[in-house]
Amino acid sequence: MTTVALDASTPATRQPVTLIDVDSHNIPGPSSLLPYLEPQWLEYLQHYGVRSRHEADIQPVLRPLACRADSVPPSGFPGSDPRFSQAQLLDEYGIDISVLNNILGQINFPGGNQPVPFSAGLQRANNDWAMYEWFASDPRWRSSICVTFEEPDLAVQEIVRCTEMSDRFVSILVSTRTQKPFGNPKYEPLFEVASQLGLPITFHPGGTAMNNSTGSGMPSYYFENHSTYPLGTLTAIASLIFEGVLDRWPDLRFVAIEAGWSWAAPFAWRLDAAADTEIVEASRLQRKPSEYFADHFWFTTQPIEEPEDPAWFVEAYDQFAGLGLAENIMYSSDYPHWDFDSPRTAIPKALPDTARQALFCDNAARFYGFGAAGTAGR
Amino acid sequence: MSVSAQGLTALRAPGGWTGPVIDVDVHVHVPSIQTLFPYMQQGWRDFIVERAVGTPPSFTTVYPQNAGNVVRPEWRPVDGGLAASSLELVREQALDAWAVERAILNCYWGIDSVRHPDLAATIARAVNDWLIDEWLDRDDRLRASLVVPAHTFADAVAEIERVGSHPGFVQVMMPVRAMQTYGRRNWWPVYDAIVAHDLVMGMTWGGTSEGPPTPSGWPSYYAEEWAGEQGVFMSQLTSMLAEGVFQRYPTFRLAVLDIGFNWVPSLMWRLNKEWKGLHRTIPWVNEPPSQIFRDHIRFTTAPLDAAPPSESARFLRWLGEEMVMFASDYPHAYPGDYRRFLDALPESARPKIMADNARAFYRL
Amino acid sequence: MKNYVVARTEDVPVGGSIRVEVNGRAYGIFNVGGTFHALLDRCPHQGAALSRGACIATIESDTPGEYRFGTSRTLIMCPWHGWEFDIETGQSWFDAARTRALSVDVNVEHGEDLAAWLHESQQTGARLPGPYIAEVHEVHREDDYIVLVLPR
Repeated sequence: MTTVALDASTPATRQPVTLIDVDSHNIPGPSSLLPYLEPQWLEYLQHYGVRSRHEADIQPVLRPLACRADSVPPSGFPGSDPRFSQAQLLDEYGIDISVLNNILGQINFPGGNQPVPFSAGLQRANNDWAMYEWFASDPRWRSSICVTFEEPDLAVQEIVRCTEMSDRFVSILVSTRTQKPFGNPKYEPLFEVASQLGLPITFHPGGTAMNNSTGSGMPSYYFENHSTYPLGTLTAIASLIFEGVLDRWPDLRFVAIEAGWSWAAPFAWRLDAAADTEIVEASRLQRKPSEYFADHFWFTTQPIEEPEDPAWFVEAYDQFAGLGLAENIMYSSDYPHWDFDSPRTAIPKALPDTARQALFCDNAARFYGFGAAGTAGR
Repeated sequence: MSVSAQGLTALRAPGGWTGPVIDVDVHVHVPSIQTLFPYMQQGWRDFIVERAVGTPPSFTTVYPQNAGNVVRPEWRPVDGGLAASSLELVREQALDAWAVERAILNCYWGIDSVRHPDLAATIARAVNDWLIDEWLDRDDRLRASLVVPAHTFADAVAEIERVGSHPGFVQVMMPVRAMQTYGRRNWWPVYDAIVAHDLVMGMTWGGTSEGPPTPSGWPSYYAEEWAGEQGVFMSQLTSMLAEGVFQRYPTFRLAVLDIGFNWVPSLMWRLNKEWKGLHRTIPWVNEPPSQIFRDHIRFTTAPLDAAPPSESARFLRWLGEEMVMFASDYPHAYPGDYRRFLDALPESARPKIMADNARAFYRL
Repeated sequence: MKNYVVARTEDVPVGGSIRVEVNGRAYGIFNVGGTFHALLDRCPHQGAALSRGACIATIESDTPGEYRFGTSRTLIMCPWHGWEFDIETGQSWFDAARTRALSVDVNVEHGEDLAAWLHESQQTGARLPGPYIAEVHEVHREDDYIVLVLPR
C-alpha cells in the first residue's frame, strides 16, 4: 500500500464551473488494484479470480470492454489510466468536474458467487485506487463509492470510511439490478447512511446476474441487454415509492445513469394510475407517486434520446420538464464507453439555452453541492 | 376510481361516440374447474377431484379478485360469483353497453402456473372447448384467443393444430411472463403453428417465468408490481425484435394487450438508436426497429393511465394513429376517460382507434 | 479543385489509416487492400474521428442464424457508436439516402511527377498547396504520395 501525503479536502477549481459530467468511468486493469488489496485477498484473487457473473458475459459487446475504439491508453485497458482519461475527456472538452463510476466496482465486485469479505476487499481497493491515483492526479475528478450493496451493513462501513477519507466521494454506487427491488427493507441501512451523510445514491446499469436481467429470462444479444438498461431503474422507482421509503427518508436522492429520461413522464402517470386504483396500498403514502419524482429522482442525458423526428426531442423534454423535472436532468458522457455522448454534439441545439445551461452545469452543481455556476470550486 | 366507468359507459351516451366499436380485449373467466368437466375425459375429472385441483394459482396472484383494478364494483355479480364468467353478464355489461361490432375474448386462467404438463394440456383443451361452446357459438360478434400450455412447446403446438382453424379463434394467448424470452429460437415451432394458422400472437398480462418478474427480484406491493409490469413487456418486445422473429416470419402479427401504449415511443426511439450501431451483431434486423414495430405490432388503449388526454394524444402522434386499438379490458377498473381521450385526438384518428385498426389487423 | 499532398503511401499500410489536416479540416486516409480512400474525418453523428475506426467487411442476413460474410473490407465503423459507412461513397449502412460521411477524392502520385510539379511551380512562383510538402523539404522521386483533391 502506497503512503502518499494527500490533502483530502476538495481543491478549489481555478475557474468558474461551466461543464459537469456526472458519469465517466474508471475501470481497473488487471494490475490496477494490486497495490491496494490486502495480502489475503491478493492471494485469493490470484487463485480464484473474480467469479461474480456479469450479465454481459454471455453476449459479446460491441468492442473490448464495450469502449470507444479510440480510448485505449498505452496500458491497453480503457479507463485504467487517469492521465489518459484526463486528457481525452476533461481537457478535450473543458469539463470542470466529472464523477467517476467504477464499472467493475458496480458490476463484478459487489458479490455473489464469491466470498463476501473478498468482495468487500475488492471494493476497498477500488475506492483506494480512486483516492490515490485519480483524485491525486487531477482536481476535477470526483467519484461514487464502490460498496458491497447486497451486504448493506458492510457497505455502510465502507461508505463512512470513504467519506472520512475525502469529500470528493460524492455518492453511493449501486447497480440498477439488485437482488431485491431497491425499496425493499433489506436496503434500509443504505437509506439511513445516505440520508445522514447527505449522499445521493447512483444507479448504474450492469449487474452480477443475481436475477435474470428481464422478467422472462436472460437476453441473447448485447443489443437486447443494452436496451434493458432502463428496466432496473423503473423497478427501483416503483419499489421506493410503494414501500414508503421516500416518506420515511424524505432527504433521499437518486440518480439513474444511462436509463434515459423520456420514459419518466409516462411512467409517473402509470404509477399514479396504480395508486388511483390500489387504494388499500397507496393510501399509506403521503403523496401521489408522480409527486415524488422532482424531489427524489434525477436522470442523466446519455444515451441521449434520438426520436424519429428531431422536433419531438424538445416536445419530450417539455413533457419531462412539465412534471417539475427541469432541474432533474444532468449531462453525462459515459466515457470511455462506445455509446459516449460528446458534450459538443450530443445535446440537440434546438433545446433552449436555459435548458442547456441547466443540463450541462447548474443541475449537477446543485445536486452534488459543487457550488453555483460562476463561482469557483466547491 | 369510477372515472373509467364514466369513460366507458359514457362512450355511447348522447354526445359520445357513434361509430363502430371493436373491443379487442374483453376478459372472461372460467367460473370454476368444475365448469370444465364436460370438456375432459372422466379420468381427468377423477384426477382433479382426487388431487383437489382448483383454480390455477397464478390466476389469483396475477389478478387478486379484490384488488382495486381487477374488477369494477358495478361489474361484480350480485350473487357473489366470479366476474365476467357468463355470456349473459358480459353481454349486458360490455358487449351491449358499448354496442360492439366485434369483441375479442381473452380468457387468462393461469394455465402457465400448472407445472404438470398433461394437466396443463388437459385444462388448456378444456378452456378452448368451453370458449367455443359457451361463447363463440352463441354470439357471432365474438372472437377469441385460444390458450396453450406454454411450458411444453410441443403441447402448445398440438393445441394450436387442434383448434387453430376454428373460425372464432383469431389469436393465440401468450402471457408476457414466459419461461424464456419470446425471441428465443426455441419458440419457433410455436410460431410456425401460429403463422400456419394465420393467427395473431396476443401478448397478455400474466404468466409464469423462471424467476421473478423484474430484473431486481420480487416486488412487494401489488401496485408496484402492476406498474413495473411494463418492463416485462418492454423486454419481450426487444427480444422478439432482436432475435429476428419478424424476419423469419414476415407475416407475423403481434398484439400487445393490457399495457397501454404511452411507453412505446420512448422504447422505439432507444431501439432505433441502439440498432444503428449494434445491428452488426443482429444482422437480420435490417430495417429500423420502429418500422418493424409498425409493420407487425399493435397496442391497445387500456390502460390509458393517468396521463392528461392531451399527452395521450401526443404519445399516439409519436407512435402513429394506426398503431393502437380500442380495448375496454372489461372487467378491469383502470382509470382513463375515453370520452376526453377521443376528444383530444384528431378527428381522423378516432374511427381508427375505435374500430378500423382492429378490423384491419385481426381481419374481422 | 486543388491537390494537396498529405502523406506518403508507405505511411498508410494496407488495413491502416491516418488522420491529416488541410486548411483546418481533418481527413481520414484509409488503405483498403492497396486502394486509398478518404473521408472527412468526422462522423456525421457526433463528430468522432472515423480514422480511428476499423475497416470491416459487410455482414448481411435475411433471417436469424443466417450470415453472409463479405470478403472485402468495404465499410468504416465509427470508433464511437459503431455507425458503418461505405468506404467509397461515405453512405451510411442504415440510411444510405440521408446519412453519410463526406467522401473525398484521393489519388496516388509518383514522386517523380510531383518533383517535376514542384520544380515548375518554383519556376513560375505558383505555390503547390500541401501540408505534407510544407513539412518536408523535398519530394523523394522514388516514393509514392497520397494526394487529396479538395474543392479549395
